[in-house]
Amino acid sequence: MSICHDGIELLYPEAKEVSLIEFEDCVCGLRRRSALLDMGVDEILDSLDSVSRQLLNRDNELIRAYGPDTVSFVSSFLSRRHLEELIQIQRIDPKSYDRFVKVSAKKSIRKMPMGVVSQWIAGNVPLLGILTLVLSMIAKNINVMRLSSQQGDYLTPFLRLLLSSGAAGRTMSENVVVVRYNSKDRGAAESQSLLSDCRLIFGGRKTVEEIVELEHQWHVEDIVLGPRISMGVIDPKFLSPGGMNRLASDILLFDQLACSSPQFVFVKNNGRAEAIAKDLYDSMKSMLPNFPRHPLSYSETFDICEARTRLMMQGAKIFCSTGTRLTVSLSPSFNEGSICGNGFVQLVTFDDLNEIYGYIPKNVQTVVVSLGEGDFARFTEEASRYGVCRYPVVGESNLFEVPWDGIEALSRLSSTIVRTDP
Amino acid sequence: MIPLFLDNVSPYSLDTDENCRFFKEGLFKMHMHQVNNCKEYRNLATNFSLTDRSEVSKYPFVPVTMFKEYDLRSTDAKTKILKSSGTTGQVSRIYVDRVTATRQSLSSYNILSDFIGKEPRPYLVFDAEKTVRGSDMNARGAAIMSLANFASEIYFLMDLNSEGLILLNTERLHGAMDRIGEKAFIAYGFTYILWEVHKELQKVGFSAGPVNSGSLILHSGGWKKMVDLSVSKDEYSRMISNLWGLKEENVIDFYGLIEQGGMLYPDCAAGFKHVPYWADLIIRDADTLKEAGVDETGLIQLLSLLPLSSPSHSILTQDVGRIEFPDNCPCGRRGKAFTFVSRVESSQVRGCSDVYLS
Repeated sequence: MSICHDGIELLYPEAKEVSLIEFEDCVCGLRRRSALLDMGVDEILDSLDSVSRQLLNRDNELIRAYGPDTVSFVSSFLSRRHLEELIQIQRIDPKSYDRFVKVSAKKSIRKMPMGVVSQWIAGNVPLLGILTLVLSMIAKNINVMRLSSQQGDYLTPFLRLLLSSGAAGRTMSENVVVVRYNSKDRGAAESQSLLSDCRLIFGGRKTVEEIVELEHQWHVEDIVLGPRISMGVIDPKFLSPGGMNRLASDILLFDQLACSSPQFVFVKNNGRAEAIAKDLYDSMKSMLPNFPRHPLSYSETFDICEARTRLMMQGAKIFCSTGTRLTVSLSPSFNEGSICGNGFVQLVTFDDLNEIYGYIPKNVQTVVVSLGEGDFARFTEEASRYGVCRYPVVGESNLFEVPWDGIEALSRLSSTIVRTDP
Repeated sequence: MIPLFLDNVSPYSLDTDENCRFFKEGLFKMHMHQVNNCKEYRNLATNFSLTDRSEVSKYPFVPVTMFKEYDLRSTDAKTKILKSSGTTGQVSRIYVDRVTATRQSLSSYNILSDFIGKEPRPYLVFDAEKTVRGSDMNARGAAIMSLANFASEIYFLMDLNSEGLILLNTERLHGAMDRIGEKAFIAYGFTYILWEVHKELQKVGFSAGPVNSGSLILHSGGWKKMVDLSVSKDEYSRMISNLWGLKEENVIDFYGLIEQGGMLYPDCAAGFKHVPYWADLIIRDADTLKEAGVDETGLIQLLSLLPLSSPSHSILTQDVGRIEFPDNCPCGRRGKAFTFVSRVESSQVRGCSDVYLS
């Protein structure tokens, strides 16, 4: 493959075009500093908590750019209470980020940063980079964030807030470099890859494969989040009031192109499946103003027409808009070739949970579930054996959480040192 | 019976109202014929409520890829199967019964004679004879045969070797040219094959000798490979016409799909493609699927009154086009005039979602 280099757009710590050598010098310069390592994890959590509160300020430019809903989710993610819970879920003693902590009579462990963590952020999920940056900051890593050309620079405003939050925030933000470069610029991508001790990659199959194959250090730790497919399992009897709207928002958010977007939903057959399909269609329609979609390419348009026709030819009942915006199909069988995102969901009726397992794809991520207590326990136990990683409630399909994709990212962003105590 | 041709009416002479009335009447009958005879189309049609007054744009269309996935047929009669060239993987299978074949043949004759006249001429085929033999036929074979009605004699100028490659037989080419002398001829080759052959002829310094200036070289089959080679349409026509000492406009590209045999769309002298009165074309806006306006690009939907043995009367193509004139092209033809813009680039999932892995 040929190497092409168009220059790197440095967005943070300052905005300027830099050469590959300047970029490498900038990252290597950070490696030599130790201020971040000397900071206590408490100070880090305090700084993030302070930013969490500042994010809700109406004057904040992230709210203006991304809307209050998205920013309020980020804000709650950054709150000290949430981050402590997140650390606890992964069974990490936060003090181990600062010193050795006894774990048995003879053994102590200490969490040390991986070093330079490079993050390739997917273009279709706004503000995602803030969440994974924060995880890596808790582990006291140096972070090189590469933003997609499809998205705005939301990291610089966030880092400015952090910078202004006090001495700790300043140190944390000084250990971050944000860049953007052409996705075809293999020279820049390879340089970033070679600088990394850990590569955190979000994206579609092609992106992930290209990044993983870049030249890298032998010890590099890869954390790959995506590509995945998600689904839903609903017993209408247990869908709470407003549940249909929440399911609609799970489907419509991020243009249904996220790994956590339900593409097909199994609905318990209660004799009124058609009414449920119509309800879901109406809910999706009513929520459209909240979910503006990118203009479709010809190819995406064709894919939707093709999937609609295929399903109709197979006898499915289709509820769809005159354009490509919404499609809800209802049929007793599932068609795996008709998954196209962009507001297109297949409802498939089931009588028994056992009918579902065979349809869980190998690359499954999330199943949003609304079932009765017994069915819920039975289904989640069995479906986990087929690879399902998450079972959020309806309406929370796309809320980023850790673990994600079955990966305890926080643990993977540190190396764990073990000491035999004298 | 579904109406097809009007007596003594040339393909591009009806005014907009007459054209619309004729086509709408035929389309509703065609739709009902397919509903009654093709199960998959019937399933599709149940999602649409149509009457004989429905707008053409309201009718369902079948995306061309469906002919690769399904055996879509609307007849129990004996059929031939037309197959696409399969450059992108799976092939389309189009069922053609005897009646449909006759309708297709009449259609292509009526269309082409409007462009190249009715006078039979020697016909040079830049392909192997094997391409048109056998019970089933591919897109190349169908395109070759669409011009056979204009041939006073046919010369297949290429051979298929044991490795399946087709190679020009220069001896046969020279022999044919000797026999044709100064008579006007027609020639046809698949776009990419014709280019390759002429590059080869250019390399060896081929000279056609004196050629009748009324001779025409036609080609079809898409631009995908030419785009890959970065060859523009102008460059293509220039190179080939120069080799024969002809004007560039004597090299005619025609558009057509195997899924809609008998429907050919040659370039007119003004550089546009025309829709005869027994067909229609809709440009669909990406995203909204609404009919695009004049000069706006969109997906090409092709409709025709020809096929009785498969539901290919209304197909959504993977091609992008643009209506240049809703009527009255500068060349004098009536009805819609359009240009083919490009193939649809295949999609790549833009987010972190994925295809289903079973």
